[in-house]
Amino acid sequence: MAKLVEATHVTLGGEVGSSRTSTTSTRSMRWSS
Amino acid sequence: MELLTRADGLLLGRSTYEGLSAAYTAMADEAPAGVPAEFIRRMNSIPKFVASTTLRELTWNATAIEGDVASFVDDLKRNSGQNLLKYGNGPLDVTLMEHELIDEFHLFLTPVAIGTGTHLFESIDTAPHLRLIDITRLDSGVVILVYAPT
Repeated sequence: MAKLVEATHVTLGGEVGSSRTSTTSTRSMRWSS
Repeated sequence: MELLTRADGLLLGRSTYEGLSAAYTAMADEAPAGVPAEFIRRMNSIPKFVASTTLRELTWNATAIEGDVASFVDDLKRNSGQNLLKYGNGPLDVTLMEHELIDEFHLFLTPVAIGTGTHLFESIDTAPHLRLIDITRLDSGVVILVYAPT
């Protein structure tokens, strides 16, 4: 069966949805992977 | 990028749809530094399924889910064989987790010390047990933790 994957940026404090968090995390991704 | 490439469609709640559609539509005209054009193109082109009780006319290659969201997602996975990637956190998580429809959680633990705001699994009180199935450490300090339900 196909999968549902949830991908979430989360801070050390457990906060999600912060633009600072997602920007920092997005820019550090391994884009080649 | 790999998650997005492997997915056949994005599953989004209303708020996430509204935010991402506006952001990535704008990025098509002017990509921000550090975000590859390939990622932006994929975000804009991939089919999206949006859980919303209010939105019906959608853009950005998105379709509003009509009827029961859990049944819709289960059917996509089981009968259509579509791999789905979900971005965002909110009420949709409650429905999906109650019906045990999420197969993996990929948490991008970012070294930013913010504790205010909305928290991961904030509306979840069922406390499902998860097992760690993969971990990747990036040079940036981001740690990717992959969990699956037990």
